[in-house]
Parts: sequence; structure tokens; C-alpha cells
Amino acid sequence: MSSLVTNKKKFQYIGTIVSFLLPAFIFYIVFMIYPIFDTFKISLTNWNGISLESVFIGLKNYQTLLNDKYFWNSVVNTLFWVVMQLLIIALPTLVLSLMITKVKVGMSFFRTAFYLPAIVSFSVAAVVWGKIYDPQIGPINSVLNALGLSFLAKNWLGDANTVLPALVVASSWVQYGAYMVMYITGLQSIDPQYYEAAELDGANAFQKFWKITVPSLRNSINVVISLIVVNAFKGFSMVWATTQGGPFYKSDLISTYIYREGFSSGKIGVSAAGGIMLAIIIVGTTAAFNIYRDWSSER
Amino acid sequence: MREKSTFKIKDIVLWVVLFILLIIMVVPVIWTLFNAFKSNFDIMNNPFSLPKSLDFSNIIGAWKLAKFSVNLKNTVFTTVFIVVLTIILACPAAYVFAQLKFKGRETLFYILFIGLSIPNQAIIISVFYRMKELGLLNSLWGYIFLMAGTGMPFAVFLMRNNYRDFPAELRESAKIDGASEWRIFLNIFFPLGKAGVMTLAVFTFISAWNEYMYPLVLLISSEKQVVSTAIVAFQASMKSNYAYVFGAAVISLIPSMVIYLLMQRSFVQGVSVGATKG
Repeated sequence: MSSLVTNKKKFQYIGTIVSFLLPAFIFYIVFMIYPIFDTFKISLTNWNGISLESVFIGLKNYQTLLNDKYFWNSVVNTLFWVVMQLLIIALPTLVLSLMITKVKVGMSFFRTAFYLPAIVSFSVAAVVWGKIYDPQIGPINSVLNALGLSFLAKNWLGDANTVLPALVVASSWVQYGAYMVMYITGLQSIDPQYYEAAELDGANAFQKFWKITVPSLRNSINVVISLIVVNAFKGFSMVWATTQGGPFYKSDLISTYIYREGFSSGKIGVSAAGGIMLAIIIVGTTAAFNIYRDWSSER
Repeated sequence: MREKSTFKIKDIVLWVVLFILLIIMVVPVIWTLFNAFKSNFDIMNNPFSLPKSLDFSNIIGAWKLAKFSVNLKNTVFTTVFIVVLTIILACPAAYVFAQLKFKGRETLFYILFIGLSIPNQAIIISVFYRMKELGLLNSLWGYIFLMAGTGMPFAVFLMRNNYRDFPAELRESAKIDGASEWRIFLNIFFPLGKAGVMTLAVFTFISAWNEYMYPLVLLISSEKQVVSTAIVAFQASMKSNYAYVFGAAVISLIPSMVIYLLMQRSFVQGVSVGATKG
């Protein structure tokens, strides 16, 4: 009798939990989980997007992808893109955040104002930076001309050598604000007594930074670095809205390569294969970061 | 005494350095605002000059020419429903993950958590062709549902951290009084966690307002375009009319800027939650 009651209660409890979780999971499964498996399925076929029939061709699309020099070009560009963003954002933003927490007057003003670029969308930023790099009205060229350095002035997004670094700067500009807030939150939770003790020992600013700030901030730094890397791999809008990967595929990323294969070249299977590969790269990177974090916190 | 004065100089130097850095970082925004009020001629001849007067003709011109009113209406409509739907879906799930114990909780949460690392590109082919089959291309609702579904991992993650901060006694004492789980959630946790809901709303607003790839693929017809894709198309079609492009940029900048200045606290909280994983 009593086990019947507890059983009924148990079912009720499970029913309640399901009623809370189901709506969120239905949407998540329909719009995220199903499309991943579906994309994977498409990547194993020669489907052209129009015909009703498609033939299973195994991993042939992956083979095509790995034999395409434009894919490898996009891989090289993406690696450059990721590493450059890491260099431009991770340490400079930390130094900036440190300065903001140390300033005596107007700390919250600086935090608010420095965050401003982060609310500009990638598409507006793409338009604005497109104009900043513009050979006609671009302020960069105007400044160079005014300084008598006109030989350095160029069409920044039209030049094969400058396009990718120029877009890295524009993309980093949109993103650093979020990381700044994360750093500041981490910095504010460091016990000021550490610094006082270090000052008594005669440590200089540089020593305090490397011996106290960085180790105490280990957790925030790990999160920021992993987010920079993951977001850089996902990056698409800034490039597509400005150069669409050009000129001469010099700013082509894996993400823009996938988009072009799928939506302009009609190579749906190859595009799907690229999407799955990118997902594997990003999930793998995230997993590696998590393993490293667990490993380093155990030590 | 001497030490105190050097101390002060250090502060002033720091302040000045920060201020100069700030100018450099926000110059693109200010430059855009200024140029939106200048004529094309002035922009071409002196990109750095201040606007001569508050001339709204670029903004009005861009507004009329680019069908921006339609684009803006679509953006507001989709953004509002994405925000509302995300809150309705994510909060109950997050509450259960934060406050209740049940078998498979960690596994289910992990399945959701993986979604944070899935790039758009890994689902876009399927999303496009299935939506096409269902006649949902150019459907604002199709786009709204997609954004809510793909936004679930972050939303639930954020709100779980929010509800986890509440003591377990809060739920237990209501339980003793005989309240059902839904009643406890709706009458106690949801109202008490309002600040967190606000954070979620602001974040979802900004990500929906700024989303570029999904509308680029799904909302193709000019009647259904949203601001983020319309402005890029507009810019490409207005190669020589710089003034209108800046006008259009300002139109799409203002709403997020207003929301940010009004809701700063929620922003800071949301970003900080992202930093304290676990």
C-alpha cells in the first residue's frame, strides 16, 4: 500500500519535472539537435538541394573538402584569425581592465564608456569599419597623408596583405568589451591584502602584475581565452558583411567557405561536411580547455 | 608628504592615459554619429570635420530610401517575441536544474551545455532546407522559433546560476505549506529572480537585434529583411552616398545604445555570470 503511494508520488514528481523541462527541450531539440544530425546526414549524400532523391556516398564529401585547396586556405586564414584575436584581445584587455580598477575617479564611467563598442552589432561595425578603411574617406588614410606618410595609405580591405589583419582589428574592437567586464569582475574579487603585503616587500608594479594579478585571475583568464578562441572560430558576420572572403580568398574563413559552398556554389554536401568539421573543431577545443582547466586546478 | 604628491601624479597620469585610450576606442562610434549629420560633400572633403548643424536629412533619407521603416518593424517584432519566448522557455527549465534533485539532471544539463559550442554553420544547411520544405522561408515566426531554440543553452545556463543563489529553504518551506512546484516557481522564484530575468532579457535583446547569419539565410525578401542584414545590403548598394550609409548606421545603433545606457547593471551582471562557469 505504502509503496503504491510512494510510486504515485514519484510519478507525480517526474511529471512535474518533465512539465518544467519539456518546452525548453522541445525547442532545443527541434532547432539545434535535430539540425546537427540532419546536417551530418546530408553531408553523407550527394543531394543537390532540389531533387527529391539523394544517394548515400559515405565520406566522399569530406574527401572532397580535404582535397580542396580553398578549404585549406580558409583553415590557414582561420588559424591566423584565431591567434591574432587572442593576441590583440587577451592581454591588452587585461591591462586595460587593471587600469580601470585602479583609477581613483570615474571608474564606473570608464567601464561604461569602454563597453560601448560591444553593443555595436557586427553588421553595423562592418559598415563603419568598411568606411574607416575606405581609400576615399577613410580617416586612417587621411591621417597618414597628413603625416606625410601617403606611401603607407592603401585600400585596406582591397589589399591582399592587409585585409585579414584589418578585419581582425575590427572584429576585436566589437568583442573586447565583454571580456573587459569579465576581467573587471575577477579583479574586484582579488583580496587587496595581497597587494599590500607585496608592497611591504617592495614589489614593483610589474612584479605585482605577474605574481599576484595573473595567478589570482587564473579562472577568469581561462574563461576569457576559451571564449575568444571559440568565438573566433565561429566568426562570420564581420568578414561576410565586408569582403565575403575576398580579395583572392585572402580573408576567407572556414565559416565563410561553408556559407559560400552551401549558398552560392550549390555544393550542399560539401558545405554540410564543412559545418560538421567546424563543430568538431570547436567542441574539441572547448573540451581541451575544460580538461586543461581541471588538470591545472588539481595541481 | 612627498610620497602623497607622487601618488597623486600617478593617479592623474593613469586617468589621462585611460582617457586617451577611451577616445581611440570610441572614435569609430563618434565619427559615425558626426558623419550622419554631415553632407556627402563634407564627408568626402574632410572626414574629421564637425557637423555644421543638426541636419537630419541623411537619417530621414536613409529611412525612406531603404525601406528602413519596414526593416525596423520586422526587427522590433522578432526581437520582442524572441525575448519573451526565451524567458518563458528558459526560466522553468533553469529553475528545475537549480533547485530540484532528480536522476539524469547532470546528463540533461550537459546535453544542453554542449549547445554553447555548436556553431551556426553546423546546422544552417539543415535549417534552411527544412524551413524551405515547410514553407517557413521569409517567415518571421520561423526565425523567432529558431532564435529561441538555438538560444536555449545560454539562457538556461544564465538563469540556472540565477536560481541557484536562492536558499533551498525557500522552496522547502513553501512545500510544507502544500504549494505545488509550479506555484512555488511562479509565485516565489520568478518574482524574486526578476533581476536575473532582466539580465536575460537584455542579453537576448542584443543578440537578437544584432543577429546576422540566420536572417541572411532565412529572411530573404526585402519585405521581411531585418536591420542587421538590410544595412549591409544598403551599404553595398550606396557605394558613393556615404552620408546615407552613416544615417542608416545611426538608425540601427540608437536602439541598442538606449537599452544599454538604461540597463547597464543588467549588462554587467550578465557578462559576469558568463565568467563564473560551473
